[in-house]
Amino acid sequence: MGRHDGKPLLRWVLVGTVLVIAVGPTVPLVVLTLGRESTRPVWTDAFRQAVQNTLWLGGGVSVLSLAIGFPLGLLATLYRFPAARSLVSFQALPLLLPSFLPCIGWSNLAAAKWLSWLPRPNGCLGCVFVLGLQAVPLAFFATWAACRNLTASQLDAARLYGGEKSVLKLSARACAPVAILAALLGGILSLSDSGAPLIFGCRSVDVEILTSFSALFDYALAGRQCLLLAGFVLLLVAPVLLAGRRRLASAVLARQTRPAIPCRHHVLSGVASAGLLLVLIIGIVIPTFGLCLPVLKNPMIARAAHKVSGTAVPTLVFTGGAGVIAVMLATIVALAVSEHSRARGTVLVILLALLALPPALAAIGVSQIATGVPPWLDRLTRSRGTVSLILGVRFLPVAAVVMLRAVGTLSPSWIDAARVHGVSAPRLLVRVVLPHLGPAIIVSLLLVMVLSAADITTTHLLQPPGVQSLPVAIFTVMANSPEGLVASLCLLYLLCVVLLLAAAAQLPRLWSRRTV
Amino acid sequence: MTRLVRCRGLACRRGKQLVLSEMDFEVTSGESVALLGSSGSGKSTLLRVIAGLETAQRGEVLIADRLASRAGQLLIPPHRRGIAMLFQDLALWPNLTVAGNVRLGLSGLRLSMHQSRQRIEQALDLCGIGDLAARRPGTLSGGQQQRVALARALAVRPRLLLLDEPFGGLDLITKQAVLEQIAQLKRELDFALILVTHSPAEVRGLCETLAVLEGGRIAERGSVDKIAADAQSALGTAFVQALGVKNNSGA
Repeated sequence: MGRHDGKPLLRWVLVGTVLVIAVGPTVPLVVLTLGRESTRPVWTDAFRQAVQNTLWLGGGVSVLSLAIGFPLGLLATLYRFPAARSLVSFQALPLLLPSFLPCIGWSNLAAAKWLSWLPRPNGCLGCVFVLGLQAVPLAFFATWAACRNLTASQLDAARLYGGEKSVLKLSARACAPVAILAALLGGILSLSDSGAPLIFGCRSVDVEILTSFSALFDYALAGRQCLLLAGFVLLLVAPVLLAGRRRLASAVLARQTRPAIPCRHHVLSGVASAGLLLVLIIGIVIPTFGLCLPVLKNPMIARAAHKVSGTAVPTLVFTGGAGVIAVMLATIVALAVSEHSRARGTVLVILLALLALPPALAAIGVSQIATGVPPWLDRLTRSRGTVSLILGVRFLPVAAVVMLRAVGTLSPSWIDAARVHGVSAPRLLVRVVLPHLGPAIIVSLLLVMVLSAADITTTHLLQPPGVQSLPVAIFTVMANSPEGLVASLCLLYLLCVVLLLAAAAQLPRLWSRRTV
Repeated sequence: MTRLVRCRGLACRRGKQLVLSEMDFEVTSGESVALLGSSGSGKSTLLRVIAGLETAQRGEVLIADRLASRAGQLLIPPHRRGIAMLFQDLALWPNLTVAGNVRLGLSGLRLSMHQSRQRIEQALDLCGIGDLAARRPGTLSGGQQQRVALARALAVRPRLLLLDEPFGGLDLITKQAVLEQIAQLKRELDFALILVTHSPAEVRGLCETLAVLEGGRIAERGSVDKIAADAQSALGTAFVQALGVKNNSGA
């Protein structure tokens, strides 16, 4: 039986093109590295130790993220508590910040004599602590999304037959696989983070790559190390993603059924609220307090504001461009695969695997090309547009997940009604589909903007000469500038992210008020 | 009476399940047919095939004696068939106003702005929702939403209206009012209709002909009295009994 839903060939061509664009930036490094020899060996004792540290780091981050994010995600979805919306929205904050920011905060606290009783995160354990807290939102929101797919009647039935214990058991069973996948992804993403390991003195593979690239200027060595790390990551991530493909595809899709309304419980509501608050205090408030200490001692807000104003335009261009590119590609993919669950799963697996790859993979490859081409091609290989494109493609999976969920809320009967009435596809897209997807488009745009701002590696390696984004500016002045200036810059950056997150949390509500 | 829709030898398969099997079915102009059948018997599929939203793997559909689709081929697109449809979930576009929904529904007719405005006003007045033109569907009651969907369907002046269980979520009083309105509009505008339903009350208000779908075919078809006199299927017997018509066959 044939369902006449447009041009199937066109949609597969579009999906294929987007996937080629997504994979494209990783190709140059593979080609260039395989054809070039380095004078230094790759597999040294130091690198072996770095691999061990990195794997230990990834495992620790996954466990911590799951241990905190999973139970909190369940409680926050099932139970009602005061200020739930704000508390849930702000759980995303740690994920959106570059890891060096809380690390600087914790280091400042450790340096204060009157706070010597506080535990001092340091070494690889310190990295697990900071990066684990940063990965908590992944497990938390994955659990939250999976739990929201349970219908009100399923939970009512569980409550009727076995009370709250039964509700928690049912929800935990339904959400655990997705939460485990998300926590593993969090651990894998932390393998490519150089901020925390650099500050806490943990020699990870990403630190080795950065050293080879920026201190030794050995592109070939950096490339080979990067490919080795990518190989490790793919070996870990591919089986996990393939095994959980169906679960992921269905968890991403919003249901058309009546969702469960959170209920109030005299103990569990309090536990949920206290837990979320505690995570925010440890993950954000305490390190922010640490950032405030040098500012209180030596306020350099004016100098920091000057630095911020100098880097604001490039930051907005890099991140805004990345956001637009990611959202456009994500919308195309989401609309094209919305009705095909197998295709949706496959696209998700490919995109999440790409997200797990180290950001240096694309950045080093493109920067190597940039050094080899004539100067007149700099506009193509070393421009603001290049940074935006690579960042946009890197965070395409994040936008794709948001857009896939939003596209899942489009009723198939709207499209049927349009066909019965002869509404053309572009007209339907402009008049019905895009306005309906509006909140998701804005949220994914803001998310990609914040995430790409926090991606130091890509921006640092690709930004054109004389142009710097704010996070990269903080990263580069961090070691040799007054603490007051670094902390002031960090605080201003944090403020911008909080404002963007607040906007992202409020916009869907404002939009739905406008459309109702 | 002219023949409006004719389905010949339709066969549809969904996965391994045969939904329609060598089915023949006809509707003449002005006729009101209630399509009965158990869940999953292919009622909605038949409506979708007639509307041109799906094509059967075998068989053909003729609209006003013109071949509209044939074995996987769509020869006349849905909006050129003179058919309108009321969907189970009404399929109102939520971000458009009531008038916007009707206006976008007229897209396939290529009317001028003036003609389009006239049609919208007429359709809304006809359905008694002229004062709701600027509202969005989310702010309306179930009955009002039904009328918006009806106005959108009738604005295109269809020859055939397909109703795919659209009254499920309505209370008894609102449902009765909407049914009376459709019956009155049908008398005024003289369109044919096919109603997919499980409810005797809906059939009583709208249809004079029953068609029972069983095993992917029309098991029996005829007026309510005819089926009451000689019911061939268990569903037909049960339905006429529920309608309160005396069953002469004693089945």
